[in-house]
Amino acid sequence: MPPLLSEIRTHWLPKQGHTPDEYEDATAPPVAAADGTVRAALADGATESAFAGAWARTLVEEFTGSDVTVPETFAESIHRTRRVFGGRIAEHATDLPWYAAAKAEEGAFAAFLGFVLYPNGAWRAVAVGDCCLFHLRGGACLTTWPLDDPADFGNRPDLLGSRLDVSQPDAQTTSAQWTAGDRFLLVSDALAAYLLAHDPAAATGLDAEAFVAFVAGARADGMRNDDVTLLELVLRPQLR
Amino acid sequence: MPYSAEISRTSPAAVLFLLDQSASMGDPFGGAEEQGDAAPSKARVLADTVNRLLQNLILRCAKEDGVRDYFSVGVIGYGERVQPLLRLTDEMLEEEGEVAVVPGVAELVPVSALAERPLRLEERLKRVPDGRGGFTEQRAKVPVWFDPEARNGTPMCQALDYATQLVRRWVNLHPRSFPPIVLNVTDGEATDGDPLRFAQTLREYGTDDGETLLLNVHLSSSTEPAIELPDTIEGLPDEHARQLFQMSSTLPFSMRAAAEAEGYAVGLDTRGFVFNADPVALIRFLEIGTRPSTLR
Repeated sequence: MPPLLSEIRTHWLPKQGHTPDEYEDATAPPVAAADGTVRAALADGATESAFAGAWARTLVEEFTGSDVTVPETFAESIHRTRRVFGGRIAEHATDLPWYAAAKAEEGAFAAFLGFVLYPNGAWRAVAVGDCCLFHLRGGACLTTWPLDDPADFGNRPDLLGSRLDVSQPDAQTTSAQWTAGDRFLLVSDALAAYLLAHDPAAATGLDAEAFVAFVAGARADGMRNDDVTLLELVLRPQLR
Repeated sequence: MPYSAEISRTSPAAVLFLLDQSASMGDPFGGAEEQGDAAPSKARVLADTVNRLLQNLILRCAKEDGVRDYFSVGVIGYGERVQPLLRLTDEMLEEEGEVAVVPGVAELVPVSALAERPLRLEERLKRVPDGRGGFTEQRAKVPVWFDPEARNGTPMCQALDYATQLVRRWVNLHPRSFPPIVLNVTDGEATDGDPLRFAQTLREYGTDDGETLLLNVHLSSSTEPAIELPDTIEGLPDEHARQLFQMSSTLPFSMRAAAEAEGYAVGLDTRGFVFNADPVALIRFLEIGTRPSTLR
């Protein structure tokens, strides 16, 4: 557990009717660097691309293991991540049927949210697409970012592609200050849209069983059937 | 809301193409001769377009572990006779085993079976970015499922009737699915009766999610500009165009969104219909018509 944090909860479920190995979101548990900076990330692989789950996993692993602290270095880090990913799938890329070869050539796509907590009281986030960050204090939600309206979740979010020769959409960035005891939620799109229309605080402090029940209730209540992922980070209650 | 059913392996959608193969399809598109081009025939352009669409539909369903059966696809040609151009043979049915083959509807082929069994793979040269701002040519294998044909009349009524039989069996087996999408491409008037009545019967079959969608594309034989996605019968040039307009369904929400993304102004009354289409309008329209909703 990184020293800044007192609790970490990672929850995920595949789309209803899908198996766990068809789940294509990815989270990386927060990692603390030597200077105490904590990085966490969430990515949502696009259903219509192949190797989307693997691309999402590579994105979050590379981000939390990186030294990216400012948005300006993000584009550079994605270039490196693409090389890592290219190496990983190259070994699968022999003797593929025509459709798999074409699909591998198109590359994989994912929405991405990276989050960085600094020991000095600041936090930053970087995003491409519709994975969302919720900043909660007490029972109140201070920030939802980059989207803050359930109506903004379309079927065509910006996505990061895995191909080296394809330009990437500009990443959005934001930053603010944290206080002891704050909570941050990193949430993939369907659940984020649902929480924006309801109460984000309802998704805090859930154990595994409660999360499954929460998602079942949300789906029955009209939440889009999608992979769902929730990473909850709780900051230590004592003063820094 | 109708036309919002999720498309998934447990709730697949059917896409059925009806392709005019009458003798006039052997001519080039309207205007092409006047321009002095060595223009390919309408039949050739149509076969290439639909083969490429089938390829794209499969690619949308392809994952690293194989092709997921979100769709079953049929292609019916009508000209010298009305015949399925894709069909699972008994041997293929046996091999498929567990795959979601619809009993008794061998003319609607699950995309996974389609992916494994093109008629042939053609090697084509493809222009791709070379990463240095220019282009380079790359060999790519392109699947082909059927070849062009152009003979005899335009038995559109028979084709619509054939489609109705397939659709009726499909919706009985998938009562909660997104309704079947039927895309009819023709360059002339029916030679076997009044197709409007057959179109209405076809559209009446549906699922809990809505009536069967019938979209019509008329291929040009003149230099007049295309009339794309009209929302009123007013101003259509002739009786044939008005008839095709009346045969066509209004676009559901997801296809209106796809049309808007292509730059069309659409509304609630917009019909899935293009009159006097050139090859570009044909491709754009069929792309929109095969975007029923997001895959799950």
